[in-house]
Amino acid sequence: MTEGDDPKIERFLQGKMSDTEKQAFQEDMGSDAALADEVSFRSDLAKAIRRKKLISQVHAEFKADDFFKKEETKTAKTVPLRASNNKFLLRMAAAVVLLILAGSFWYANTSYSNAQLAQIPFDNIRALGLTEGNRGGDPVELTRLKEATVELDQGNFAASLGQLSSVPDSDPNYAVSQLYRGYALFQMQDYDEAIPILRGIIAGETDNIVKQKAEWVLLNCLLEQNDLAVEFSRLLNEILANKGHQFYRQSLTLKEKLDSGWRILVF
Amino acid sequence: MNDLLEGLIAETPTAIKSVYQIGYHHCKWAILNQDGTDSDAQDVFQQAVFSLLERVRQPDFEIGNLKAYLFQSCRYIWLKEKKERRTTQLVEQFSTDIPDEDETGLKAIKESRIEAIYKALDQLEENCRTLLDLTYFEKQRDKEIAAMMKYKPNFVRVKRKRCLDHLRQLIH
Repeated sequence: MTEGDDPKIERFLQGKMSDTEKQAFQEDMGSDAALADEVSFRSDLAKAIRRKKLISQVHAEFKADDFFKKEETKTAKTVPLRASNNKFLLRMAAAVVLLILAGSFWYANTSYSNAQLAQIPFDNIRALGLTEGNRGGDPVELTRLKEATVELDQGNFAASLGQLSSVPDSDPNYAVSQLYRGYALFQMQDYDEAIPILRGIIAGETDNIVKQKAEWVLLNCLLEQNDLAVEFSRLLNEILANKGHQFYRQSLTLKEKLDSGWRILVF
Repeated sequence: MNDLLEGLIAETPTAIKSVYQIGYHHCKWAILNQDGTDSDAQDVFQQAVFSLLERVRQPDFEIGNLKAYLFQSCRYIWLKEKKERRTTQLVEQFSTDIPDEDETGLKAIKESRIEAIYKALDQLEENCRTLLDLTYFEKQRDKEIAAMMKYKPNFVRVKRKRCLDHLRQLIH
């Protein structure tokens, strides 16, 4: 097929070719698959446009007659007010109650589920100073950490893991890299990998900023896994006992929601 | 019903009006009950009618019950639309209920190229839609199209090619 075929295709589709021309063109189509395909495509296009116009015209006529606003016509029935109508009213009442219950379950499920409660934006975990050389450390590792921060900001959690895993444990920013690793794994829903990392930070870290962030991420990992037993309770209570904890307010809100009637209703 | 079938194959306005009268309100009910609006119902029904005009041409096409067929068609189109809009989780539940065969015994709806073109036309820019209308519906010559759209005569062909290329991208 060539550019010169374009006017021929249009004349063919518009029925403006003579019989001789048409025959020659059909022979060309027989030997040129691309030409035949193009003609077929434009023919389908012409049909689609024609049908669309036709349906739109009918639609417009019905719209002008207010057809779409009318209800489906049915034979009118006179329903006498008798005792048998109580059954109908009872059924309606039952349907309304069921709807309210279903709505309540839906609301509780979407607002109080573990997934809804376990929400951590990266800003809560990152803090000024942690990646800006305050701890010192190897400039190469610092660069890796900063690149990983960029990936985490953009939600590229898997991509960040590569840089974070390569920071050695001798580097002053090792705990921060592990914290971010735990956070990235949390976001990737790989809680089994995240939890031991976060426990390690909590057990070994003396820096309260990093430790408290690790506690918060660990709490949310356990929440997502629906593991609300000993470790979760202990951790939550420890945070709530420390009003100076970075995540004291969030923990308070979490506890209120866990204890709320909506959650008890569904969970 | 045979007259109606013949009218649909011939694509007469009378046949299409009959389809509206038979099937629209039932279709509207289905859509309003699935979080749709009056406007959604009208758009979906137009698509359903378009699909019907395509289906009637297939040699194995049979209508057991046109009203039920249109109802199922509207439901299918609307649930697909909702899925694409990603409104609620309930869509996932209902869309898995779409059977391969509905109660009228028809096979699962598979979109043809014409149906894909029909949907894609609305996504073209207005100039393209106008140009393609003038070319394929009104069958105007390039010279006349150029005068109407205030293009240079040689540009009409260039513009049409661009519009066709864009349309092909949309349907693929």
